Amino acid sequence: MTTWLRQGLVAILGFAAGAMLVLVALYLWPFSFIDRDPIAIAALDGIKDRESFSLNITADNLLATHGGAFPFKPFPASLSVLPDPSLHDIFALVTKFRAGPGGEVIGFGTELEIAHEHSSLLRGLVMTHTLWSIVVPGRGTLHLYQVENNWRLLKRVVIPMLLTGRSFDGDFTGVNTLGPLPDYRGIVVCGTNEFAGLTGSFVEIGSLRHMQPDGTLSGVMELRIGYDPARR
Amino acid sequence: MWRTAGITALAGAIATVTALFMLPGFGGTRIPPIETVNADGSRSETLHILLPEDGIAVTHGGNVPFPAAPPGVAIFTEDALKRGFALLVRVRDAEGRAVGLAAELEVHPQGDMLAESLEWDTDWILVLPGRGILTLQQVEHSNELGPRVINPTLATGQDWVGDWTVQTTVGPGPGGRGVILGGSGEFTGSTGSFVEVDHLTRFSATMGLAGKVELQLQRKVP
Repeated sequence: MTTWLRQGLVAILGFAAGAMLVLVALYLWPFSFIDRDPIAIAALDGIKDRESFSLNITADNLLATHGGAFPFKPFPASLSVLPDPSLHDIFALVTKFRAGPGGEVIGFGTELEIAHEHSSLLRGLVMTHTLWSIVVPGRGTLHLYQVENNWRLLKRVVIPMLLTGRSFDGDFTGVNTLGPLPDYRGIVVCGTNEFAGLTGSFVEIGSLRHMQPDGTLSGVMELRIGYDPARR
Repeated sequence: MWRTAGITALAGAIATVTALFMLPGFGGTRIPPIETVNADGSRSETLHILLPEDGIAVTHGGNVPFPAAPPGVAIFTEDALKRGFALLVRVRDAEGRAVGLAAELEVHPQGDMLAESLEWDTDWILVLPGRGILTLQQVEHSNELGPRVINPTLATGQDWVGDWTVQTTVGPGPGGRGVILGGSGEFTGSTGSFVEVDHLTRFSATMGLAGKVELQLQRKVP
């Protein structure tokens, strides 16, 4: 009997050790996209005709909600998680936009996301399809599409925060964009009026300053756009 | 004992790898579209929005005759956004199934759009899980919305109740239709046209418009 108990205990500990080994290896795994920031920013900054929009999180945001797949708290408090099962993987943000970091408010619009079907923790892919729509009164509307990967946010902020139960306070800055263009850039999809016919690429640069376990957060988001060919 | 530990450690590793490969398990909610393929190869599909039940949130610059909603949603206070309007709604297919979410973004014109028929730019962004994201552009007009529906309510305090169907789209495409700009997923490279048709049944100064909005798409796939 003692032998059986000992064997059972060894089996449990062995199983846990195997699982832990995988988790630690995954946490430390040097995925190629981990160090994408300088590549993406250099590619974007190599385009001559650039424009930047930014938003303060959450000071410039009017509302946000989702279907349950995102670790954020809908706001204002009167908004709840969308109950429809078919909307489970959707996130929606309505926000104001500034003329670059620290600039004046010049527009408004949305960030709409669908959790990406090829997301896989084993491959370090916590991805969304994201469409930014920026309305600048008097100029028109610009639509930007990207695949973003929030693996680094999960690894460096969310998991430590959940394991310790303590809020994150600091500066976590990085390019969230993973694609679909080479060099980790999103794409200028289309636009209206002044933005009609423009093509190019962009990167989303997030600077997270504070995050609480309940999903409350603050920081700055920049959408750095390169128009190629340049505007006339 | 070491053999047991080794075997179970391997089992633990394999189980964890399998779970991590499967998680987080996004993207299993595609609902096939209800659409008709036309003789020219384009696809006709109508998406429906029931108001107020499909409304999620609305905000604006304070120049719209109903409040931002739900309570607590801020309005645009900056001068640059005074004429802005943003609506977030659930979208249904022809069978009434919730198939996605949409944002309507508008910049209203200078002047009193309730006193006369004015035109303004509107963008629709449709997020349809499993299919992609689709962007639409149209010019809308206020038509008789002010004189027929809203102004009597504002003057009397009584809700307007009726049955009025109006195509709000007047451009910018040929035939007074809106244009499909493109998008992502299966909408990448899509072109075509659409119209917005509103069936209005009630207006309340506190709750806004009630009825049904139809987005009638005629989409060309690349």
